[in-house]
Amino acid sequence: MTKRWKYLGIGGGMILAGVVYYTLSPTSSSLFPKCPFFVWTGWKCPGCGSQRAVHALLHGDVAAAWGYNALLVVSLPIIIGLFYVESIRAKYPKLYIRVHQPLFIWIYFFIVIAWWLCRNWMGW
Amino acid sequence: MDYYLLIGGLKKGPFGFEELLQNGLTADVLVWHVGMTDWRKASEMEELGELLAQLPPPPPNTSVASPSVPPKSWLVESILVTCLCCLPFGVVGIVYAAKVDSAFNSGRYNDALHYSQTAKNWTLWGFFVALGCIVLYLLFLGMIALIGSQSLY
Repeated sequence: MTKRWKYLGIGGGMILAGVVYYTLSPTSSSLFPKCPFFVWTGWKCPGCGSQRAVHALLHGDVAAAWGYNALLVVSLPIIIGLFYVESIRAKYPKLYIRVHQPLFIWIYFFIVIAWWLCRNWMGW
Repeated sequence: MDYYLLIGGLKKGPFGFEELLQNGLTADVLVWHVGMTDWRKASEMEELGELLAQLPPPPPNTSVASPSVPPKSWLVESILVTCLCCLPFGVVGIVYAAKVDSAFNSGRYNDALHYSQTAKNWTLWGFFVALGCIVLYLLFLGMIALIGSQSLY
């Protein structure tokens, strides 16, 4: 019962967020908060630009989304795949283990760090 | 007769025959009393048999092999927090996700559980700090709107 409510809450929240991010553009509306990390430090964090990227993706504009936050565009298929593998974890633990190899996780980690450094040093 | 027990490498005693059970006598404990040349296991000494018979049998072998499913590594959640929540907490979560799976793969299930907990903490902190920022920001906007509308009067 609690699990059902949890999924209902997550699903409802995602739909609401989807509607908000589809109808309002983070570039023109001041309703969307700026990244606190950027405000405090003046550096972009790995997630900066995600709100604009989500807005662009919801309108089918992948190229614009790539320009706002390439990491998010790269990560979305990974996130969906990982969620799927995790949802069947109890049934196919070997698949889960094979996907969750430390090597893959470290590669992703270094991509994130490289992305973080590059966008601050090279203005990506 | 006075008995001595060797429990956990420590000599205990002297105890009377009747006191032995209360002082930790089990089948595996080494026992000595005057007249013996060396320590012997309690189970090998006939005179202690009636005492040992009062003890419950040793517990069944409970050492369980490591579960085949690794603990939750919070990898997806960490990636989401990294990409969306705008705070570098998720990056730490990813590091611990890798540690969960390394530890599990090398058979250290307890370490894996520990790392899983740490990954969870970092990820959830990242999420709730970001959520808190959004709520504060919206409250801030609401306050400005309120002040703005009042100044019209």
